Amino acid sequence: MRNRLKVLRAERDWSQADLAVRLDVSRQAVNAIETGKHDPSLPLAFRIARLFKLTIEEVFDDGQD
Amino acid sequence: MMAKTEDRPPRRNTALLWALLGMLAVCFSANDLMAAASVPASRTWQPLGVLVINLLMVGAIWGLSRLKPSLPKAVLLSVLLATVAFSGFSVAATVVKVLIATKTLAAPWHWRTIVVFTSNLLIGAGGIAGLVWLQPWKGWNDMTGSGEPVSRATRRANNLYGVKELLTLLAVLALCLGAFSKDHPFAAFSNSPVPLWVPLAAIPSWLLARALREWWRARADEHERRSSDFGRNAAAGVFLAVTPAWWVAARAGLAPQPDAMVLWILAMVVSSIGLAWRRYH
Repeated sequence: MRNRLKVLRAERDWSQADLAVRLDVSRQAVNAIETGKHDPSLPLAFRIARLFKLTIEEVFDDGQD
Repeated sequence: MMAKTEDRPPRRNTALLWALLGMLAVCFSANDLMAAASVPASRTWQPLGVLVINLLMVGAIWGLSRLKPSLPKAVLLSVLLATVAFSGFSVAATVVKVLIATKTLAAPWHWRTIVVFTSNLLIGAGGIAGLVWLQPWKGWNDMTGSGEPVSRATRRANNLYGVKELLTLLAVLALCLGAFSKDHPFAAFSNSPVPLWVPLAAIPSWLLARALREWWRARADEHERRSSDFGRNAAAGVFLAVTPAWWVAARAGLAPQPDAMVLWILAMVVSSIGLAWRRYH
């Protein structure tokens, strides 16, 4: 699944580790989500969206539109 | 911005390090020269060769301790210091074992026995002191990326995993020490009998390590959990495929009898590779 995590992170000048601390996950988890190797669960997707004050659809794109 | 105290590389007292390594060199020399004096002249080269290797090891510890933090440094320094500690304590334990076997433990010790026992005890303690002081495991941060900020949940999960690994190591170490045989180097993983203290030490450590593994899985983040499950599924797949094939091959005389420990080791290796591949790939 495509996502804007890297862009959103760069806009705030956060490293993957910084984002991982804010989401309470490992840096590897952030990297795997960013590169599309791991699709986050719904609870984690909500946490990500809330952190950036966006909706899930604004962060993630399942390519169905 | 001022760097946090924990970000600064620790300043080490060079004189203390020299003293520790000098003590190790003296103890190795005393022990190996004593051994050289007690063997026939034609075999003197053996303990002297061991002495050269031991002194090279001490020199390597010194050289590595001067390098900047890196993964190779962390690995080599950890292995060298652990080897020093293990060799010292194992020889000291062997001295006590021999004295017990010859029923001379309570009798006054010969001065040579005192020198060998004391020097090896100091070697073991020196290895542990070096590990505690130099803390080579901090270089492992390069691999885990934990030099960066880490969330509280991740730190807790990592600590749990570290304790689990230590307990596993303890179980394997008990098995290796209990089943050690010069004639059969792989006796630890054979079906040969072991003394009663081995299961008493190894089984609780192993079972506790497995319980901690499940606790870690419950507390790890979802990516870690999926990586772990991926490794386990791969291991189960290999086990389910190999076991019956080996069993049938053995019945047809094409292979030796299936060995549970070989299958277990295979499953553990596949599980670890699967977890690491999914985690870091």
